[in-house]
Amino acid sequence: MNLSEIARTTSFRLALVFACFFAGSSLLLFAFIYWRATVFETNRIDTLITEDARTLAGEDQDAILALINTHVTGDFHRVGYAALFAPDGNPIAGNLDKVPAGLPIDGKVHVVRAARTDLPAMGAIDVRLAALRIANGNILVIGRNGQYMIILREVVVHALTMGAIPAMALALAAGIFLAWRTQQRLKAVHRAAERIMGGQMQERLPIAGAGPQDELDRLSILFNGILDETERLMGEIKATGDEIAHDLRTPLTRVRARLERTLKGDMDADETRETVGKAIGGLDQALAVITALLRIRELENSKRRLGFATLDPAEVILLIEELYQPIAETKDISFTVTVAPVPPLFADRDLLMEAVGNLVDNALKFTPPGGRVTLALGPRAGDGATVIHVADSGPGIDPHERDLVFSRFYRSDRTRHLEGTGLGLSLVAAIARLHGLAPRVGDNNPGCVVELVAEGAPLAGGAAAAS
Amino acid sequence: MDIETFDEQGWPPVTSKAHILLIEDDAETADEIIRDMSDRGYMISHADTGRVGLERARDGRFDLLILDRMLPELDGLSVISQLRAEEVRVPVLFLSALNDVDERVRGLKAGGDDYLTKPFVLSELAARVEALLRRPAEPRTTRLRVGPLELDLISREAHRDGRPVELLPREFKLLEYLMRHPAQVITRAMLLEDVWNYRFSPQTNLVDVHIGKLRRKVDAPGDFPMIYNIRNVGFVLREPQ
Repeated sequence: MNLSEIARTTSFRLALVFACFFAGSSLLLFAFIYWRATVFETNRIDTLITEDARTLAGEDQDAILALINTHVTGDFHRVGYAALFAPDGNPIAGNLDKVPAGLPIDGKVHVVRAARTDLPAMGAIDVRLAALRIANGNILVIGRNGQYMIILREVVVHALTMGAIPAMALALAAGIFLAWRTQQRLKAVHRAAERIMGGQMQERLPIAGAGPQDELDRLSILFNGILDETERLMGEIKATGDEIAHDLRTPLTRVRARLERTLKGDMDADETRETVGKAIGGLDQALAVITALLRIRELENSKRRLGFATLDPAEVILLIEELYQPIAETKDISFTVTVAPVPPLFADRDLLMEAVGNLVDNALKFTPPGGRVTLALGPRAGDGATVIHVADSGPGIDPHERDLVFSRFYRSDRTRHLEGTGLGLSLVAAIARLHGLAPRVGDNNPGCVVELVAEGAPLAGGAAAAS
Repeated sequence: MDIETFDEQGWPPVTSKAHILLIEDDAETADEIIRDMSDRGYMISHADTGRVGLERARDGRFDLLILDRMLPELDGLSVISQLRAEEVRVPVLFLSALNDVDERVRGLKAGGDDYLTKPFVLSELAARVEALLRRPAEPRTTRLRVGPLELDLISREAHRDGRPVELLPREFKLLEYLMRHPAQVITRAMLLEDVWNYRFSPQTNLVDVHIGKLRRKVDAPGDFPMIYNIRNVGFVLREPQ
């Protein structure tokens, strides 16, 4: 546990600032109290002095002398000054040897320098004195020195040391503790982060646990959420990678076997040609998978819409019908196409054709002879959003797989054995996303329905439609 | 009646002896192309940078350029733009590893005549090379004739030996394409691209079905067949022999 490390922490610096602020405000507070107390005490003393003087002045000479005597002898705090002088200034009684210089005889309190005769060691100090002439013409001087102020200051300083300094020390200690605690937590977070960066993706940042979450916890929770998602995606990519590797290995193994057989050379020319032809077919399939993967990635990364134009989707639908009707006939599948008027779409014609073609291609592939495939374009009942709808009477898609079929590289176990890349729907989804179309999969009882819905898609409205 | 099938070897290009310049920086790809093109009877020269390629293409000895999109020093697009700016009209076939949606458009806009994405099958390249080399001299012709087969492009009528052949509009277009490239191997991708504007390899045997339908109309029973299948490559239309 390094002290200089603690000194660098934010918590400690905050605690230090707080302690200084606390000390400053304490000093101010005490200074204010001291000031107010001084003023109050001075006023009180001055009132006492003037009242004493007035009372004394009302008495006769003997009573005055007795009272001066009491005043002087009863002064255990060594604060009292009282004396009586003859009109010529000669002292009659009391602890002053002369009327102090500069003290007007007006019955008001003035601060003048004076020395007590009974305590010569004290010397001449500032004293609050009032002088007045009594009935017989003698001068009465009475007052107090600043000793009480010293006492007051002592009391205040004492209070300061007993109260404020320990409080400051406490604040500093609390700061050090908080800094230490935060640093321990940060160190734990730091260690966890280092392990994560080192590749331990299952690692998570520590959460303090019990009690309400502080900002550090909330930050850690947020970061852990990001890690969860990253780990999930990495897992998905890894699984996909494994699957793709597997899917590529199957045709490549077959190709290898065929070529090996050819190499042995015990086939006639026709057989050799046929075997090599099949080998090339296998390689083509492997290449098709790779090409489809690259194409999906490229579509997903594509931001540009160079080939986009305002077009009537019906054109594409009818072209697809023309293209696929013959193959439906040869497979004895009824292929019906319906087109209702829809607003123009802002789309890349080739890509849109590829997406719809892919869906129809898939539908025809999975539908058994005697089945039916429908392709429809029209506004959706309700909100009128343009929908491209492809339905078949094939084996359909399991409900639990429906959300997955459009995810990147998802391949159903059901279709894996069939020829093709199995990436058709991923490709469709990528194209749909590029066009702002939402892909949907549903049940056709039996079979499957795939829809591309232009929900708030970049429809060719306004200027685009006008041009 | 099944469609008659030949192997590709039986169909050497009629354009052999044409002189091709290959501008490709990848040695192995270049080697494969050179071997394959030489086997098909072409004379082929090779340049491995855009600058050298441009220099050699300028002298105008070549009948065709096979041009890689990504090249050191000077990329393929710049080479072709430069050539077109200098009024060199040699047909250019673009090769590109970029399968980008827009890349094709860009390549053709720059002056390319065809575009092939890597990886490609060599027979696909060969078929496209031959198609480019045999570009019809008169695209404005109104009547096409291959042997007994006749196509009137104005009245949209087809006849074989004077007998009318009823064709749907797209079948007419397909036959027209084949008749513009007689005795020439046409790949499925070429047909999809040029007849249907369809740039996507379907998983179903789409083209074969269309060709099959057309063939049943063109090659009636008892006729000498004119449409043949070329194994693993595509189709051919030729005079009956």
